[in-house]
Amino acid sequence: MGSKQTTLRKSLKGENIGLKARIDHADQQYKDTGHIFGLKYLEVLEEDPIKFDKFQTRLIAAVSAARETSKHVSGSPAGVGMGELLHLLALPEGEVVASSFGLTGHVMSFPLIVRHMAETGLEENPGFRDGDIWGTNDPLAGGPHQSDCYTYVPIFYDGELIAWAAGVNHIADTGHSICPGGVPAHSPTTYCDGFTYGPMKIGEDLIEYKWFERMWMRRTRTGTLNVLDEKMRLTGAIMLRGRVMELVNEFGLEYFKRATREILERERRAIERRVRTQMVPGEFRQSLFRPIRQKGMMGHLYREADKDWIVHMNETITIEPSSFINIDCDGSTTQDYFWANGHRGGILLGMGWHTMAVLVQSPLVNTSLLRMLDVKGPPGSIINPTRTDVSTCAPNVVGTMLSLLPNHVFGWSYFMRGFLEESYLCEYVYSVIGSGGVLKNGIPWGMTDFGYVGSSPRGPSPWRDGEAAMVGSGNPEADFGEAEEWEFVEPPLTSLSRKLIPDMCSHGKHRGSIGTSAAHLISDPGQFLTMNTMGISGTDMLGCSVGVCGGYPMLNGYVLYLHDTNAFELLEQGETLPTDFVEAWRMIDSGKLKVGSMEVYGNESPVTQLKHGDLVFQGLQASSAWGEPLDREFDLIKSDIERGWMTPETARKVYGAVVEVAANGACKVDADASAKARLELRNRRKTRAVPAKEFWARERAKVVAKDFSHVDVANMYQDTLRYEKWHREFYEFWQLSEDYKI
Amino acid sequence: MTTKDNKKYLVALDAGGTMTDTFLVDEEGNFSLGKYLTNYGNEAISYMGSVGDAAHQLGLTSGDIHSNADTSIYTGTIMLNILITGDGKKAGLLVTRGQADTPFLERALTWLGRPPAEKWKLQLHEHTRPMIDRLNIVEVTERISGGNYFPRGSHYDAGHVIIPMHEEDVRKGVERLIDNGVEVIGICFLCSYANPAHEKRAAEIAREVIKKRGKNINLILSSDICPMIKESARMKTVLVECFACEGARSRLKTVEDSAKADGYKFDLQTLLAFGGVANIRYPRLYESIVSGPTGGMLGGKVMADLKGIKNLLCADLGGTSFEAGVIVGGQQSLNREPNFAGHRLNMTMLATDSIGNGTGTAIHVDPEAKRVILGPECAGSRVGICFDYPEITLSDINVALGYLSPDNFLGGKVKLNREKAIHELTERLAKPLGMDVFEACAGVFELMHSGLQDHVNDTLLSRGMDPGEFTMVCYGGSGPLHMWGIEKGLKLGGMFTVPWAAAFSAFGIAAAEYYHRYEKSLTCSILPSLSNEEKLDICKPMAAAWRVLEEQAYKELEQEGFSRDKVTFRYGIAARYVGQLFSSWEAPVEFGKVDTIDDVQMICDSFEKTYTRIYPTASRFPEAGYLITSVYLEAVVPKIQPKLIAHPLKGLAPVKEAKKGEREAYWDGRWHKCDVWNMELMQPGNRIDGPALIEHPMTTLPVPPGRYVEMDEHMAIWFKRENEE
Amino acid sequence: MSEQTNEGISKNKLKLLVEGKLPLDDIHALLRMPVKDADRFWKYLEVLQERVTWKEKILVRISEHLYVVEKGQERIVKCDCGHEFGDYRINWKLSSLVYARTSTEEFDEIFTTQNKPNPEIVEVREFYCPTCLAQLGVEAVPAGYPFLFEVLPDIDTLYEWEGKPLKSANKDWFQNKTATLTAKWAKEAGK
Repeated sequence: MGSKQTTLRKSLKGENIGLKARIDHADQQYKDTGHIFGLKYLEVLEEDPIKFDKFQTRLIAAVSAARETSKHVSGSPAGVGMGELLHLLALPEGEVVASSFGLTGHVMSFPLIVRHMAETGLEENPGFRDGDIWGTNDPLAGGPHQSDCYTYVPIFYDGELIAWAAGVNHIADTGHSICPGGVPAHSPTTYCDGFTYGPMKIGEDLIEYKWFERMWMRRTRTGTLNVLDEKMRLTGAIMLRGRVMELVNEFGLEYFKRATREILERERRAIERRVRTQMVPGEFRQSLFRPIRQKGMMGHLYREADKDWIVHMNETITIEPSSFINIDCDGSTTQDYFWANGHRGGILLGMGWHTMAVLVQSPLVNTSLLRMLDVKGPPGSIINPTRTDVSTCAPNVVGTMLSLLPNHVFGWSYFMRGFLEESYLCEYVYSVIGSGGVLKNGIPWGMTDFGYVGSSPRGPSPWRDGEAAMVGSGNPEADFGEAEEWEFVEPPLTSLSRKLIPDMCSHGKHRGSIGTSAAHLISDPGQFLTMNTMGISGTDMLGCSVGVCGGYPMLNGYVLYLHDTNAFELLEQGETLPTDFVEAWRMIDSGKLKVGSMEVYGNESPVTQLKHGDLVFQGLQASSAWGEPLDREFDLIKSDIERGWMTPETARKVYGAVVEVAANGACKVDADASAKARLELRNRRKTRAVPAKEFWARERAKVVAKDFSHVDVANMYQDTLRYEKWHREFYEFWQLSEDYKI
Repeated sequence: MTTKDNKKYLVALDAGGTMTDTFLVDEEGNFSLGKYLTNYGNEAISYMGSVGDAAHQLGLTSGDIHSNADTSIYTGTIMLNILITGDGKKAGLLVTRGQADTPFLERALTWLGRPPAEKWKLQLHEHTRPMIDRLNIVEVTERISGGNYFPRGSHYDAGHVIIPMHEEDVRKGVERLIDNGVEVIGICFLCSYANPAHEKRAAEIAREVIKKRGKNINLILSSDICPMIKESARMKTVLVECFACEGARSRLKTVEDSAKADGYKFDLQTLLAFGGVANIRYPRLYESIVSGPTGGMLGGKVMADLKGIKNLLCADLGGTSFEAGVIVGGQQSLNREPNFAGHRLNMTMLATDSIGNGTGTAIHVDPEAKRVILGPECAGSRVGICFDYPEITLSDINVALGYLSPDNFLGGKVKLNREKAIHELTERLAKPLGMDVFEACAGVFELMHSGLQDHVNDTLLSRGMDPGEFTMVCYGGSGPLHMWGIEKGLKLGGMFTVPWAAAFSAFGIAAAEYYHRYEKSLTCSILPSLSNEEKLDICKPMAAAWRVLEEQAYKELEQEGFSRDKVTFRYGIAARYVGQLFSSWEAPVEFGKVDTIDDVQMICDSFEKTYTRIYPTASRFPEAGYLITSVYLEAVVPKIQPKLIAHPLKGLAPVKEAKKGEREAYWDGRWHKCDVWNMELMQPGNRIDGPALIEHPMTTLPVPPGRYVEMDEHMAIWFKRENEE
Repeated sequence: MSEQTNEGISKNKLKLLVEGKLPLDDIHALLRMPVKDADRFWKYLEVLQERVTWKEKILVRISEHLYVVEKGQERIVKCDCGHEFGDYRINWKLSSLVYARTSTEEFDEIFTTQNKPNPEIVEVREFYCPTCLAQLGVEAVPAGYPFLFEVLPDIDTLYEWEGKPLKSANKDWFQNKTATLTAKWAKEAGK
């Protein structure tokens, strides 16, 4: 295969232009015409639509085959177990034309990596050669976070760069300085973020440099697994490269170039049409909040990071007359010394993987979505950070949180237009455990436990309840693996449960789904063991700000660490252990379970040290509900109780359903008593509520007096009101004078 | 034809969704085929009907056959139907505390068995109907360690008891299950594959309680039937055994009773998912959940052995789906975690992949995007718009382009309307695309065939094989029909079909070996840093496991009437590099012992051989060491096999009577006048040149210009290019 | 793959879907439609109009209970019980009854496991219809947060997309006028 010195030699018309120029040209074409590559007419498609379909199908088959074959090489639990591996084929400009199964959001971030390479002059030095292997995991360069590593090879044909074949997956440990695994709850600066590399050349002649393997072994806790993952990504990319060469031979270079571009424009039009024919345009306003707590945690080492925040993610989602979806995040929190600095790759990845599931929903997924949707934030905010020193290790979390709201909007918009079957609240949620330590014989280890990532609930529809363990965050092939396999790689974490907790759902006409939960008993951790968790939503808030049509918003996740417990003594006495945090609290309250100290968090928990006999309980977020709880059918309530997913107390308290439960678990609804109970609940609303005007006047007085419930809330307003649109909204709503300052 | 008393018969049946096929063969290799509409309510009826039909072809009755049959093997859709209809036993289940929701969470695998387009449509993901009521799951406090991949001494050894079992949980729980009226109880504890002590003790307690209550309730232990890592899949496996197997066994028993009443003297046998057959009294009947193509894969194996074909690709093409599997170096590939009826199971099954849509698939056009969409709906027995279905289908194209005669469908029993097909294809397909109707039809086939070619290529490439080293056999009702299209874009080593293509699965079942398969999880980390002594020591459990499995095999086969001297063993391992997770690769080894360091080396080498057959050398990682994750054992006993006789070759030209007439068919943009031949009258040695159409009551074999077919001495019909030998 | 066909959706089936009574198999068939029925929106409006007792023409449904309807020259938000919330360009929440939960006890009534918000930083606002007392919206926000104006539909563009522009179409319809009401209130309070 020889390594001819070649950069981009020819454009479509044959003249010599560089990558940067080509990207700029494509952007300009889109700007001028509203069509990708300015393709007003899809000539290749029109000429022979079936040949075109065949070509596209074969590209998809090629990326799928690359992934399906290579994934078993993996060492990463996320790669195989959760399917957190993606292979994709991109044009020289970075536009992705075909993607495999896996975490499809990466389709959105790969183009940024190519743009970054063009902008930083890597085309000139070291240049792109046939047989080169490239890699990166740097969020500043377009990747979503350090855990997601890209390996990609240029595809040359006749000396011309015609495409990129890429593989990406989430690795087990990034070598984060504080949080093993690399799903950090705290990370003040990017210098703590772990092994960050590239985009750089990591091999040639399709063989990786030995030093790169050495880097993995040296700079991460799970070197072996990471090397295997590197091999996995590369194996697929090389396979894909081969298949693309075959396709070019078969269809001809000209056809390949023209058809790949037309594919992008055709799929863009499909999205445009979907919006135009199935959604209601307009402006939708929602927001998210997330406390981040670092105060007291980082102070000695990083005084600048010794703070708590309520992060504000503010969104106005507009479905425009052109079908373009504009997500404006004006008013979001300012960048700072925390993990939440949302660099663009992370934002778009998060936004992409949800949005695809609602807007594209087909194996034809590609970068065209990027041309139909944009996320904007004021420079300097977490949606658009300008600093390079603050941490970059979890911008994807900001992105995935942000994308919860557009997906509320899309589901709702389908409902408004009458496409109820398509309508659901797509709320991918996740929680990841990072753990690591040194075993008793001195063996160091680290792991990212993805047990929950693969099992997001599916939110409710206007016609059905939410469902647990349905969706693998952004991966159409959800999978949360087997407890026995997880224990095999993180032995001190003895599994006590993987289950559903009764009542742990948001209530509504169609209730949200119940979040999956898990419990671990720490056994024989060896010399030391640390753990932290990370996921969508923080502590002390709900997962998002609004439920839909009168339903309650998404419940937050939950993490409970119990230190110095009498767990093993209880077992010796023939008692059992709690399997979830509800049971744990019950046993603590009854005095049976003795606890030296405890820590309670939402999804994000700082690094904590764990000992033999400690207990860890987790609950995944539970999706938002749809509609007014008092509209819920009694039959649905009855069936929930029979399945052990709801208690009769909650049925009574929230839904006004009076249900009798027989000894064998069978249920009967008392219709008369229930009608009475519902009436009581309605009457209680009447007595407790006040007219909005009255409420407004009362709250306005507090706002004017700067009487906020908590200093973090005041700080949030103080920080974010500097942004123009949000400032206007806030000031107009409360009718504040311009000299008002918090 | 055949006299009544002096022949021994082998009877094999494959009951499919629509038809029950019989392959009946005598000791000289003469065979006949039978068909009968599958009767879900009472399979004894379709069994007898199908055997009767096959006997009738020989001028005999089913009684004549049964009284002279050595073996009757029946396989079908009993298990599948029980799972789909939910008509199984009321099961109780003892699980480790905290695991009661596992069967409902299903590891989130809510997309199993769905076509790719539907996997992307998350609203279509749903949990599979559970096999058990949540109220009948009992949680028992206990925990055992399953071990880990770190060097020995890092943490608990596999099997270490972390939490002793609370026996009272078992006692109370079983009482409750009996109160609830369960008919069978399964036990599946975490990591019981590493140490079955808790499951065994729980079973003892359960037996006491059951006895005390005067009940007769069967117990199924996961450590008995499937001692393999992965609790969710293992639990599902136990549930299948509890929920479906006893019901299936009693239904198989009624089939056996009817055969015995008809003169059959032996036990009825059934096909197991990994390709063996066993008596229907077999304790792990869950292994008899057989997916459609398994029988065909075995048929492929017979043909491969007979013709000396090393690598064979078996393609089962039917009305609802196309499936493919491979035989590499004479070995069938196995799937260690198969999906069945929406459940992921922990068992070994002959591996097949779904490679495409069946011929009944509906065709849609999105006029704005100019996109052709195949499926997802399927006409099934309603064929297409040419018969009784409101949508245009791939079958309509077969009729429109002249490949399928409107007068020869199911031997002429069903008349198809070609004019209507062409009219609707024009309106719904050609016009929206702005194309000529026949060109559009040919285009859709192009699209479909290129998809099949890609799948075939991927199936081979993902196993590290070059298609040129493969021969392909096409069977199923649509196998011969689409051979020409698949062949066009593939560079295969050869391609054939057989006149009994439509009953190929039953043929395969007849040829299955009588064997059982046993497997056990273990953890042996062979790290490069270890001394030879240490390596040997670490591998000792493998030998011990093989001995245990051998004893189990002897015991079970003895109960099925085979003495020890009749049993031979085959050994193997499943392994990965240390650090790889979740996937292991299976490799046969020459012998089941670990006495010397050479034995250890042999085991590692066999893994390397398997691994490098699949992956490029760049993905090898021997520096990490090897992790043996399980050992397996195949225990084989002799069974009579159908003989395929070599017939004397006749001339190149078929007999005159074989020619049925002429018809036009569309290839390469124009119509070709084709001779129409009767496949049943083709003789070994005959050659038919394209363009031609060769018809059989159950299928049609189109031969385009530039291709010809040739029947060999075993009646295999080879599909060839003109310039080829 | 099962033996089935796609026949689109009749008005009657759509009615069942709206009522939550359409069998799952039918919904699956709808989800599998390669190309959706073009007149869905109009059928939907018919079904919705038949479900309410009042006569004003529904322009678009914006929630389980709320519709934007045409009333004379106005476009107003109307509850299916008949209650009218006024100009749809002003957040209807300003014309509702509000109850804000601000304590753990109040949270306990609706969040029945431990993973509930901290009342120091979150209040849960429930918005009810003043007539039928249906819960129309829920917000969980920090104190002092303006009411979220969840949806301002661009009705004229919608009808243009449907190919039947409204006679009353005007750019002014797609404007957030909420501040006009708060300004009025502030003025009244100032007096």
